[in-house]
Amino acid sequence: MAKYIVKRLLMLIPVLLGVSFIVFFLLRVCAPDPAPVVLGEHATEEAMDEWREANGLNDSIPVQYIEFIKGALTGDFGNSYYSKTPVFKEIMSRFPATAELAVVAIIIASLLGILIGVGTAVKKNSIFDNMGMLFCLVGVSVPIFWLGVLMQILFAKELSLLPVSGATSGSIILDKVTGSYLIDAILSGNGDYVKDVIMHMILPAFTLAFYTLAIISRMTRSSMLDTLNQDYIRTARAKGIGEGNVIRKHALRNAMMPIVTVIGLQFGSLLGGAVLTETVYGWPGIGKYLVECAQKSDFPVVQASVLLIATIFVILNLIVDIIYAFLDPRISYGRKDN
Amino acid sequence: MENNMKQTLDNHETMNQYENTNQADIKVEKPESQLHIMWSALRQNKMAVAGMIVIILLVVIALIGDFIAPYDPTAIDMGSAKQGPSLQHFFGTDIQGRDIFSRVLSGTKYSLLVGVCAVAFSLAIGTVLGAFAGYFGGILDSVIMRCMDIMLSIPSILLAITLMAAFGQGLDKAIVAIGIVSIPEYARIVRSSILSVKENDYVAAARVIGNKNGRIIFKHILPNVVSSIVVRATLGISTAILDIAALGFLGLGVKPPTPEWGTMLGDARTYILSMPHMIIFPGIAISITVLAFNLFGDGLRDALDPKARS
Repeated sequence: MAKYIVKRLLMLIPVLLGVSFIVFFLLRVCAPDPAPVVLGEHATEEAMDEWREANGLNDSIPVQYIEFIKGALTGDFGNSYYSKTPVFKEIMSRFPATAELAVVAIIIASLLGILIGVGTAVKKNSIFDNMGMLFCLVGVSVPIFWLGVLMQILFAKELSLLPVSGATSGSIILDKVTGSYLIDAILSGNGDYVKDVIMHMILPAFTLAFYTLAIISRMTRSSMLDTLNQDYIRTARAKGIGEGNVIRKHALRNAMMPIVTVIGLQFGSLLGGAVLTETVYGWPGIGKYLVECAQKSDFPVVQASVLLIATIFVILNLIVDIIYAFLDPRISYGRKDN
Repeated sequence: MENNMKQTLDNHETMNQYENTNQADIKVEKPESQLHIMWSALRQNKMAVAGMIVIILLVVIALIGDFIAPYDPTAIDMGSAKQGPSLQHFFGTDIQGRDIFSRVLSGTKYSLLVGVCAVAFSLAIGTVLGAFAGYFGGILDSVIMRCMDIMLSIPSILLAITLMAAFGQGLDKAIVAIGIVSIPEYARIVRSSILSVKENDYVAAARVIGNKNGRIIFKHILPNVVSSIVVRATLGISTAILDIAALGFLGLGVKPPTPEWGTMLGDARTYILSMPHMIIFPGIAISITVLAFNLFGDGLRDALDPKARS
């Protein structure tokens, strides 16, 4: 097992090098010169040249790429074209907010998704099944940013139940300890702060979870239907095991493999979806920052954010593969006697 | 749901009938074409037919939308700005007095165009890459598929954003960006289909009679895997339409004032609380379009694989 993990970790290196190359190639070679965008159209040629020199854009492309990789290995992704602050610091200060949103969303999506999936599979062809499948169909067809805006209109404007946007109310000033608003609020020991952050988080988390929830429900349903048709389920029922136990211990456990895969894969697209959700709700995470910077050609930020998210994505996929081994004892990696 | 079950049964019966006729009546000159079998199975899936009808309607709107639109979709009329839905303006007007109903009608063609062209783009490149990888195997396979893995390790919307940041805004650029993003998906499907087909005897036979590799791939192998590609492509159109809407919403898609649905949503974002109608109608248009392609794609998949309906 350890050998397998090490091997897979080593395989990440070429993949991440490839990602860095794609991102670099697109933003440094294909993209138009950022100097006029950053300095304004009326900047003099000398000023632009000076700016390019200062940002290392006058070097040859291979040299730039090597510098980029060298920097990336030491956590130096250059400075933002606008704020001049180190990109890595900017991203890291925003990343925890994105991570907490994504984690809360994947928890919501997994729990509700498995619940809906199992329910619809067990009560197949019932009205509940129909409603559930309709919900899933809508879930994958509605643009999540639009859904987010609708929820803002409904819950924030019409019903005034929840705040429209942001991570905290203006009156609250949290000490930045971890960067995650929820954890920082808990650490502050002030119940009102925690409540405030949770209220702000409900809409973005559910919006972000919606699509994934639909996918997980569908996967759970079809996987459960497969399992429920197996002979060992009939045997379990024949032995007189209660239906609840049959479903939980015999069916769901065996149906979990594809569900775990989907959850793992969906976590990646959730990080992508966070870009949209954060933009809608003004959630101060890496996604909103990335979009703002992409719009104004702040390429060092875009490069570093995409690389960071891709890194997390591939590591998550690796973790999913490892979880397999625990869920399914038949799989054993790296041993040849199998 | 009873309906659905009945459909399933009907479908199985239809399929069985085909098998039976083929077995019983050996004189049948030409077996039912795959297309025909697909069509008769699809016809019985009400949801898929509904999706198909909506798609046809959308295509019609895309073609004649500009002519039937009551107003010029880009004409600014500050005098009637910020109006809610009324008889003069069915969907209301936006911040610059443009008629939203006309803009939604006119925007249909952009979404469909992007959806179809982006899928065609990724399908063409993905098929060739996947076919080469699967057919030739070896180093070529490894190189192609590792490249695909690398692309897949960037969440698709992020890759699309990066591409748009590099290319700049524009309809053509959006098509290419969204197309590039889904190349790996098609490459993988085609590759695995080819792997499962290429060991068949008829492929060996085709080779023995001296066919060139290119001909074997495109004449003998690909036609056998075309159905799974068609299904994936139909569902891919709905993803592409969601992607262009997302890019437009983020201000990275088509340049305003082009009445592209996502761009309209992005423009309206600042005014959601005061003028929700600016948000609601383009969003409904996107959802209906995506839903129609999803229903149709799901129907196609089920029609091809009756087992999937169980």
